[in-house]
Amino acid sequence: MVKFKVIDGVVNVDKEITKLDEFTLGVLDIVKKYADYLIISGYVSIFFGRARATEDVDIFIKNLPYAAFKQLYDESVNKGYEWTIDNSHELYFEYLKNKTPVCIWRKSFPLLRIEMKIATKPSQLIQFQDRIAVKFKGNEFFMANIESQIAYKRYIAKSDKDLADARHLELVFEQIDQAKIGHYRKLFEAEL
Amino acid sequence: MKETRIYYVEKWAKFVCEHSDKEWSAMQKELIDSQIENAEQVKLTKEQVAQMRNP
Repeated sequence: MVKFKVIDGVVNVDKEITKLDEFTLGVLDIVKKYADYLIISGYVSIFFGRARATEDVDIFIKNLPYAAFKQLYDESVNKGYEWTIDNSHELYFEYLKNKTPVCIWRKSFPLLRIEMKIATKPSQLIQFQDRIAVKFKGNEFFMANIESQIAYKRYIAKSDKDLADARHLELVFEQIDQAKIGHYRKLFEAEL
Repeated sequence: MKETRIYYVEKWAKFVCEHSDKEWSAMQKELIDSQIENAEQVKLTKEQVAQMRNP
């Protein structure tokens, strides 16, 4: 490989598939039928090569009606997944609509989970206009753009792990737009 | 300490950029899959996981 490159909002990746990728793709296959989503945070760095694992894959979804969420919930349960609580109505109205994230995992393995929340802040919503499509082993899925993730991890989250994730992304991608990182930094900082 | 961590992050990122996808991702797969396989062996219930996360 040389470096990853986003061309017209798309990045093609031809790497080995990990158990973390398989789990994530399995959940997204269901989510994408009912909601607009994007992956954020640690999994973005890990997918593009960072040498670490994680127990959580974080995603934002756009606001969706309860009926759609119930379909998402029902299909996932039928396919062997479990949620924070076993009640779609409460998950939607008491958790998601109250800006509390909900988790979904394979019934037999609650340690590895997707953490989902509805995007509400301007900095979260704007990332849907700017997300990147990842093409990987016949799948297509969506992630927040790389500059937004570098900005968030470097200037907002700032733990050692976040700083390392940001540095990794900066090094493995071609044509990182520093002005865009600055733009997202301002957006995030304005919401602190 | 922080500098040491970043040094190894940079070294690995360089490896990713300088080697084929097949090569670096096989190594990454081994690392990630083995951690997940180990965790699977523990067979925690969702209640135990919840307790671990919110003690």
